[in-house]
Amino acid sequence: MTNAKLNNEIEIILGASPGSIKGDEKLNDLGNWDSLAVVMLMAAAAEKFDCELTGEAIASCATIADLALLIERQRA
Amino acid sequence: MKNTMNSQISAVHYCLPSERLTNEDLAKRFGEKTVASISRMSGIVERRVARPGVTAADLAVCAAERLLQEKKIERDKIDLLVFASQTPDYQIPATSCIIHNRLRLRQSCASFDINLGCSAYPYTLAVAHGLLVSGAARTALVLNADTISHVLHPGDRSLVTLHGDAAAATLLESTNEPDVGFVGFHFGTDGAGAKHILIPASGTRSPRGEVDAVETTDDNGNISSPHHLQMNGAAVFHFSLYKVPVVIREALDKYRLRIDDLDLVLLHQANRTMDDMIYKALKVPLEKQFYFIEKVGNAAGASTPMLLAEAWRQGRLRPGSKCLIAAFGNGLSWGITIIQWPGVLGQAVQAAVDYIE
Repeated sequence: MTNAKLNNEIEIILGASPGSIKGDEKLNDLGNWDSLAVVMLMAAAAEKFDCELTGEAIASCATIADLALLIERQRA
Repeated sequence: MKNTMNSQISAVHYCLPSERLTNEDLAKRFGEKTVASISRMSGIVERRVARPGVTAADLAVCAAERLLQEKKIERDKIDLLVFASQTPDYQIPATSCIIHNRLRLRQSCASFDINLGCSAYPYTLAVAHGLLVSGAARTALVLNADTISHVLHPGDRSLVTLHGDAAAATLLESTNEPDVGFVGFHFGTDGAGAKHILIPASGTRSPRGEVDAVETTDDNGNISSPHHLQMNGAAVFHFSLYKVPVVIREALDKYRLRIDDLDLVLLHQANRTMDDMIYKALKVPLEKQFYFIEKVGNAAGASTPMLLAEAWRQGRLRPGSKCLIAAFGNGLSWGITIIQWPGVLGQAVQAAVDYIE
């Protein structure tokens, strides 16, 4: 999974325009990063990244970069 | 009375409150973009909500009356009534006893409540089935009903957008017809997950009168209080996505079946995306999938019997079908049943579903 794929997925989840997510953003600065976004990321991780994420694991991430690392660790 | 070989579902019907809460209504409360996102994920565009004063028991009586009338069932024939709900009329007495009186059933009819949520249907069927095959009863009316909207905080968009109210009535009868009825049941519980879906100030653990309805707003803007239903959405999603396919496979292994042996796989209708993913994990082909959530939302314990009723009405349930029903929810709790339908299938109940006082 490339970071670009994760950024793209987060754009879809948040309804953001393509290319607007750079990958270094803080999750709390994303505006509508809420419980729905977390569940949508869990679904995307299962479907597209072949990766099981829990709500607690996602909550432990402060940035999109942290999410990318989490996903890579889970896939390994 | 003698033990019988099995029991079978003779009819299913359901009742919905006539008031509709649409996504357009909710967009005015929570914002269009938010509601649109939730709708895309959940597949829900509308849900029915019972007005104050209309209870789950009212909806259940409505469904039961229409089923009995359409199927021309003599009410004296009913010797077992099971009412499953988490929004009963009272803590004491059992609401089933009140319903028994409203339906004018005979006194020699057993009536009791079961307190389970979304997982209720397979449990209620199993309990009724057990009493029928033991010979303790011959004809059971199983009612699954909830008015979850009445225990939600109106400012909790994470739940108000998902839940609808409904009641379903199932008629179960003893049968000695071979190879017909319940193939089996499979149940399970993860009580460590109880905290993920609960009303904190309910029952005797934290009596409502002693705990104030202090409102809190979470980081996502959802407003709740100890008097209202609260849910850890991520934990429940994880449970549904990763545990439910496992327990369905366990059920199939238990009865030496595969998805190929089934004609229909019915899942509790909590969330369209989640059910899509469960179907995909189990490799259930499209023709064995069925949904009924778009216009009714997550109807808690009434969801799976309502789904079965609708599959029957729409001709998805065919003579000789083998059908798996999986229901899962608060507890955390899950129940699965596999049913073999007879070679001649009765007519589905066609009576109107809207509740009219």
